[in-house]
Amino acid sequence: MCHGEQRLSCVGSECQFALLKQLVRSYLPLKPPDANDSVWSVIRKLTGKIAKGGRMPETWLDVARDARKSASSLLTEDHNRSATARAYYAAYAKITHELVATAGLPMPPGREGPNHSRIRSIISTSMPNMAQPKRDKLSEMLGRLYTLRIDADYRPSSPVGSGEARAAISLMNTIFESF
Amino acid sequence: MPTQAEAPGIVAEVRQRLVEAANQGVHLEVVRDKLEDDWLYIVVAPSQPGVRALDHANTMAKIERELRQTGKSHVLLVPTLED
Repeated sequence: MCHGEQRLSCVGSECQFALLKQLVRSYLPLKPPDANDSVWSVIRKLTGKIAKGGRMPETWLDVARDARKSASSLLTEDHNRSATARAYYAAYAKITHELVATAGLPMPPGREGPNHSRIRSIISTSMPNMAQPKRDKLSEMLGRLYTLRIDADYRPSSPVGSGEARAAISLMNTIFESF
Repeated sequence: MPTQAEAPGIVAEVRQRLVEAANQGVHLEVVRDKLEDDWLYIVVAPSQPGVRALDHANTMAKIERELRQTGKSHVLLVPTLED
């Protein structure tokens, strides 16, 4: 059993990693008798590594990148409504990361991101490192994406085909590359 | 930024532009408006089934841009106010 910080270096192969996951899982339900004991330091580090290894998003930027990848995959599989919705969400997450991580804006109580219907006003007034015309353009692009997403998810009577999905992916990519 | 007194006029202007859009086959309507934190939110939705999502999105963006170009800033056309 790994009981020392130096043994973290053995986390390299899939096999060892799986064993260490088991080790951590067996410890997690326990209350540490001594939180300063080195084994708990190892467990804390491994828990973080498992989160990364399991591809669990940790920041809005992780969420954004994951959603962007999903949107592109869904487009290639002709899931146009889902691709459109993911494209919006990827852009929302990318912008939210900038508002939270760079600008340090407080979010509404009980939420980690802005309301979807209000984020555009925040972009127009508070998007960091961006001149007003670019803020307006960014807000407009996200607005178009949001409308596409609402129609894709909540209005089956509104046609959402490959044209909509491609436009959504294009807007998403432009937003990703704009800051 | 729009005041409470200016809001009805701006909403009426949006309605007029939606009539023009309907003449080109894009049928949308104003379903709600709300002035909040110095921003006027105007909810615009399809008025009949079959309106393409891209037409919906592009028409709203176009009207919003035209409003901004005529000095009416802090006006947002949105598909819903629910989150």
